[in-house]
Amino acid sequence: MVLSHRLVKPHGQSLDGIFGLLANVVWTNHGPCEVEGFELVRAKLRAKYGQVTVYSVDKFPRMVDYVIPSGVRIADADRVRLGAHLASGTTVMHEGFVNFNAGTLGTSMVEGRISAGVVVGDGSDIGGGASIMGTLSGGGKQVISIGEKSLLGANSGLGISLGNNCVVEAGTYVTAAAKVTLPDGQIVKAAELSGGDNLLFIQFFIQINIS
Amino acid sequence: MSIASGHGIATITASGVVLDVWYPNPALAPLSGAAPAELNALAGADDLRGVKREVVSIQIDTEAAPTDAKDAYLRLHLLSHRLVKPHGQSLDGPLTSFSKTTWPIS
Repeated sequence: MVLSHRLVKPHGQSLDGIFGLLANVVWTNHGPCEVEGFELVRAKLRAKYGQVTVYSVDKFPRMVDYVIPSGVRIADADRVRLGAHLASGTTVMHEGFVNFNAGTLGTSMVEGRISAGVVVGDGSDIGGGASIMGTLSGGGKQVISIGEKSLLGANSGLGISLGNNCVVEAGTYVTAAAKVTLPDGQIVKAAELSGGDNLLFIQFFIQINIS
Repeated sequence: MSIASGHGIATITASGVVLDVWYPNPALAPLSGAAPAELNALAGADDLRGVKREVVSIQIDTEAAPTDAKDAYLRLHLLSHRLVKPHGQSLDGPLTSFSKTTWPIS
């Protein structure tokens, strides 16, 4: 049955208003509990079982408590929410994070954060501590995607989409409004480069002497 | 119209709030058969947590917006089972290909 899951061609679905439909829940090692009145429940669970571990207080549980997709490694189960889409060949290391309605389409090493709605193509890697801007806060509407064989360097950030074979240098945060100097000297907003292939984003440091 | 379905087990509070639903085997197909015996065996009350566990059998249209928590949980399972893809926006804009070069940010 697991095999047949992978034979079905993926397609999108509506998740409109999903936050309003989900309750905030205390996720424990003895199962989900209601937030209201939890201390009494904790006392009862302790009396019966001893230790009670609370994994989180959230609307979404950890994915691996509900689904374990084949061909995937997840170093820290707390970092992947139910609703994440991890393709076979994906590794999420401890510093990596994958939100719901987001994830990978092929082989990827994920050591940074994949925000809700973000899709990462086959062969692209997310470096340690890298940040990909999402749409859940800040009012942004543009959903970011990354094509194939691209790299977000360690501690880099991304506020535009990348095509194939792109690199964002370690430590460089490319926001949509960032001004980018092209090889011919022209300066454009990074948003105008969104989705382009074969781009290398590096950062200039200009030394200013203050006397 | 795009159909998905699943048999699951829900955790429900005394006041009727659905805390979670686990769908072990969701499908992009109309609901078929009865819930498996392994799920039925999980149903019952948990007096310590003040919840009951209830078997859920639902069928949804994934193109329409979700209507309740049981529906929402099925959609989250469809994603993590890789039956549906996260929906991102398609890449629009005129720039699709560049030569390999260095584009510094100043």
